[in-house]
Amino acid sequence: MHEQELETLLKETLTHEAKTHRDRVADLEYAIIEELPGRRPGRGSPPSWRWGLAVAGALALFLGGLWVGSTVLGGAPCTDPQVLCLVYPGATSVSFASQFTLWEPLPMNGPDRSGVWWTRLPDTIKPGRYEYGFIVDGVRWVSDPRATEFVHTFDDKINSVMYIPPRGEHQ
Amino acid sequence: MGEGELELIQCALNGDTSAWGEIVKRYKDAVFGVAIGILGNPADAEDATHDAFIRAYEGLHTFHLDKRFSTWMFAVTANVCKNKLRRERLFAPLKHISKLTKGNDPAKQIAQQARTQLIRESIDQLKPKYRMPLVLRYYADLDYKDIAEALGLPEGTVKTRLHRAKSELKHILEKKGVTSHA
Repeated sequence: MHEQELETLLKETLTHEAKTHRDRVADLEYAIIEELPGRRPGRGSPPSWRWGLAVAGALALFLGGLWVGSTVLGGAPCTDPQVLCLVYPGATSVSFASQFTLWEPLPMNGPDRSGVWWTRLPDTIKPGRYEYGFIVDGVRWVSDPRATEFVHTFDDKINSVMYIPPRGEHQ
Repeated sequence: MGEGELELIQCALNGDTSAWGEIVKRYKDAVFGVAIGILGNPADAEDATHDAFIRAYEGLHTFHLDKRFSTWMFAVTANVCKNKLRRERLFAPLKHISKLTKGNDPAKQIAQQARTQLIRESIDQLKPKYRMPLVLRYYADLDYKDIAEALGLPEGTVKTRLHRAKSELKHILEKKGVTSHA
């Protein structure tokens, strides 16, 4: 099959499918207008309480993690700056996803006996700014309580931000 | 920007809900097309279209007025779909529903439906990371740069993913017995 033929088929199929079902959004503008008064235009359901809640939750997790780490045992190598850790005792799986993994979830190691999950950053990451987060039990997006910067995404997630310094510099 | 679009967006930012309603009216078909392309299911696409316009309204302050609104709106839509896919663990099989289209020629109708269904099933077999740029390129007609911006990926990655998506799609279709008309 030629590439051009494939492209034509794709265009036709996607257009045909959208046209076939577009009566589903025939009155969408009215439904949206009705829903808007409870929301703030262009200012989001912004940082305010959501961020407060996220930061408070992150801080609690971090402090809890510190306590668990220092008093119970230190299984995960969380003091290593090349290692990302998340304290999540109840989780059955935790993955790590970032811009540099092209948002592909990578399973993390763990948990240790304190419920700490960890992953070592590969040496091959280029210096730069990267957003990332953790996926708990395959569904819950969790930000990193140890991050110092966060980003509120379009789809209401909070991404953590890390900076990889040029080689030879400390993080 | 479409006619009067900038003014509509500015009015929406000032709380004019009917201005946002006009934006929804202009873009709903395109946004729905992107959503159904990615999700493969009309009901999910309907929900995603609704959510995308609500999220976009809430996040309108992050839109740069000198950029193309459609690209930004598709970025919001792609993110909503990505989130939906993640929530439903949709890296698993999709629940696609296809319907017969209304038309005058039953033979043409059936052929069209069969072909659409075959391509659709093949698209659904692609991983979301390949499906998303494919839909933005071949449904929304975005160029590499805009797809990169919409998906938050480097342009080179978009090119690679599109290339792989097409190779994989070609392979799937050939396995299903679809060959060139030439």
